[in-house]
Amino acid sequence: MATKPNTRNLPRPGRVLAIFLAVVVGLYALLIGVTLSGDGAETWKPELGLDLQGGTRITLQAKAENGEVTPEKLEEAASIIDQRVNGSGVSEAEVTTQGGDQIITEIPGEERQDLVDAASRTAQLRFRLVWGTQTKPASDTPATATKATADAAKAVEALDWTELSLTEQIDAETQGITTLPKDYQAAVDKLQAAANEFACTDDNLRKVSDNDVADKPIVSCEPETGQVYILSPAVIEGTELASASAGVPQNGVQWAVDLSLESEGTQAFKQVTTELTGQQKQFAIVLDGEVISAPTSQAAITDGRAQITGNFTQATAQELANSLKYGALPLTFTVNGVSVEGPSLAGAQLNAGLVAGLVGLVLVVVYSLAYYRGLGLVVIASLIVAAAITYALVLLLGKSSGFTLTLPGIAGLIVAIGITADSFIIFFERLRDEVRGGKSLRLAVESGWKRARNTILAADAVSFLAALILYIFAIGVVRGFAFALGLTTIIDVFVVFFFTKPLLSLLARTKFFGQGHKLSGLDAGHLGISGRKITQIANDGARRRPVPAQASAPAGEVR
Amino acid sequence: MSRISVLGHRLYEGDISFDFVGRRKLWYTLSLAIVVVCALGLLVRGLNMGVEFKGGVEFTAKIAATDANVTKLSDAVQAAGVPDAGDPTVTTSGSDAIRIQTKPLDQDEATVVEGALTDAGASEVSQNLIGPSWGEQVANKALLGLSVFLVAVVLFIWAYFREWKMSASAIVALAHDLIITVGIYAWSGFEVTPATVTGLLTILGYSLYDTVVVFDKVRENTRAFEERTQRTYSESANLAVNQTLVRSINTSITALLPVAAILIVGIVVLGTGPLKDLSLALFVGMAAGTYSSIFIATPLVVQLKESEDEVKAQGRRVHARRDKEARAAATARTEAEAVGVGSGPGTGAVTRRVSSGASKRTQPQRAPRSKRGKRT
Repeated sequence: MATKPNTRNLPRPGRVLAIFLAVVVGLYALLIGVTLSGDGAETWKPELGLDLQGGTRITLQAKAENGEVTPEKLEEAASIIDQRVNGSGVSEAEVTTQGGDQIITEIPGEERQDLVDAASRTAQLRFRLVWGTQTKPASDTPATATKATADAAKAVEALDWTELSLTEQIDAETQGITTLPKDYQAAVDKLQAAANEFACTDDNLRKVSDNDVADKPIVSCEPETGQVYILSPAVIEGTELASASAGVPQNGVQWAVDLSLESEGTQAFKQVTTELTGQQKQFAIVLDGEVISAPTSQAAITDGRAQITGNFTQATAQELANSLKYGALPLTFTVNGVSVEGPSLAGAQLNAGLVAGLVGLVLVVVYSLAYYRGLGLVVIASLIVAAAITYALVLLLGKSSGFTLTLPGIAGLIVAIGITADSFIIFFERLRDEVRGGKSLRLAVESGWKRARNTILAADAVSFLAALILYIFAIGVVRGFAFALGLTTIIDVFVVFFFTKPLLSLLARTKFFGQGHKLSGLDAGHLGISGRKITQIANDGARRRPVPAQASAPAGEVR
Repeated sequence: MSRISVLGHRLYEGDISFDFVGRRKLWYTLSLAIVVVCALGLLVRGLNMGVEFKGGVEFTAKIAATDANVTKLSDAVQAAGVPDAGDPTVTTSGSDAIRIQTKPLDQDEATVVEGALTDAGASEVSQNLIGPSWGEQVANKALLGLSVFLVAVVLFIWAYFREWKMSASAIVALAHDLIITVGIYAWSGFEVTPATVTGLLTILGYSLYDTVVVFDKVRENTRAFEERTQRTYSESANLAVNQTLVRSINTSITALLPVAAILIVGIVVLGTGPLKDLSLALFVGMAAGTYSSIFIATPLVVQLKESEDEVKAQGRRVHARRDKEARAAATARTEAEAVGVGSGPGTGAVTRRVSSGASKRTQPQRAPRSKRGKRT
């Protein structure tokens, strides 16, 4: 049935539909592209959350000792925890911040107690004096190294190092470690032995950081250079650090790190730098047991404002400044929750979620077929398209921004089936109202759409608003739910605008729908307009149409 | 099925009309009674807060969910040598898992209990260790989100409908849904978990979604109502509710079907868990949401609107016109048999929008609608 020329600008449903389907195909082409470029195997499987694949999830709650927990501070803390947990190279742990004051660490796979510990430890930045260095390269026998370390630890543990005054500690560096009181000599020897056997590996550093205590000397190294040090008990704690920043000094060309100390730290720093200056002696800045910098003192710093120079690039200077800042963060963390999900229980949850989704979908399909008959097919086609887009987006978002599908997320998707179907219902009911009002189906689709459109948009806007606000304010699993709901709400709008509506416009031209076949869901009996066939109505409408259309033309603008 | 469809047509034409707006006192009383009962439940029984809100550890052990195993695992936890794990709550969860809840433990203690469970025959143990402040934070965040959402929605509805009375009514309907849902939780003793809170927050969106759809029709029907004398504001609004009734029923069914699927699968396959908690809250809230859009929100809008002078004046004009017609009809009948239904002369307020057949009782509403449809 060729279209009768219509004076109004009818949309071109065919073209809209073609573009829309092209976009969907494009989405999948993009996915295939990702498959080909990356590791292909996992592309068609959404990234699953811990509750669906099993793993450990640690929630840390940050508390500010003074002032507020700012996003910057939290991000820094998260990146340090990331380094710690992923430093061992085993896991693919994800560290994210959440809700403004929480850090979430997710470790997929089997439970790893050591990673839980690594994630939940607080950062420890300390300034220590360098009492000695490795005097000979470590032998390649781990057993000897372990024994030496254990011996040193035992000897160190037996003594009370807090009895040493700052002056005594500084003297031990400037005048030799032998100036320490006699009681300490045995331990110092053990430390030297341990230092000599110390290999500067990530593994060893992690052990050091596990045993890093402020008031005991330690043996550690600087990973950048591999230099091993015997370090004094902490002379300045990280909390004494007021600020740290990277920059190029005014008349310099090299990057440097500026730091300033609080009053107590300033006092100690003054004494340390005064004594060390001119002797080419170092002090060490130690974060989590790891020496991040061991500068020599060039001048006595009396005001607590120091500048660390060296062969810094912009990146290394900023990294050091960040590490310093993190150590100085007035944040303490408490473990807020640890959840361990076994892999097969997680699998059961996934299956249950999928089954529920399938059952829900089938129920909606059956209902819409029973009620809307032929139009029900449009509902099904639209739901399939919506599902296809959702699936593609979940996969793409999983690849690009690490979106993981959690159980609440699946629930959100299932709930969205109902909300998506409702858009069609609003449209169809309008459409039927228009047909009942005496319009031909083709006109009814257009005029019904005009009215349904705003309702759908307004209702979806409210739904999206709810999802958005849930997403912003919620913590934990709730966010996955909100994200899924918001995503599908947007998809719903796209599908109903660019698929369902053009599809109906096209179908209205067919004989089956346009003339109200019994199974189309638009026949007179089904609509409750008994006695008249839809074709008659259409004809009535056609006959009547020109008259009011012309008559109302002058006043057509009145609304 | 087509019965509903026919019903839809008759509702649309106004042949059948449920008096939602007129009998609002009845609905208010009914809802008030329910709300009072629910509020009472909250006060008397309180909510059964889940381990997430109290703090503690929840273990899920994979083992056949038999009574013997429940006792065995319970004993194993008691004998684990962790004092805080004494007197645990042990329940079955689905057909092949048992859930054990204890008081707050630290990580090492939790590991000990986990070991004890594995020794007692559980093949896989999941644990969920929750600090006592966690639930409080979830609740606080939820409250904050709720406040922001309410403000945003009030503004949105006000901007969209240009009518703060609709905002107010929508919020009242929303509060109604939330109280009922919470009340049902209080009386039934269902456990409140973060998933429940998610469900509750989702109800916000859904309840308002439904209300917006009904309000949109109300607005359409009452557009330029003051220029017409066919129906009072209240009658137009009631027609709107009737006209969207079939949509409301269909929407509720399609929305509730998937939720019911989650609920059933959640309970049958998984036993307790986030799926059940979420879908239960959704199910109750959605049902309440559909009810309140029809029975509470719209009548409330009408009530608020009826205090406006313009609405009152229009109401008087409608009644004046009807009285006049009734008198005319009565006199016509006494004089002779009615020859035909005379087209009533429009009363003073009739404008160009009212077609000449305005007083034809048989199809009163069709004339202006179809005409308006053609103009756009």
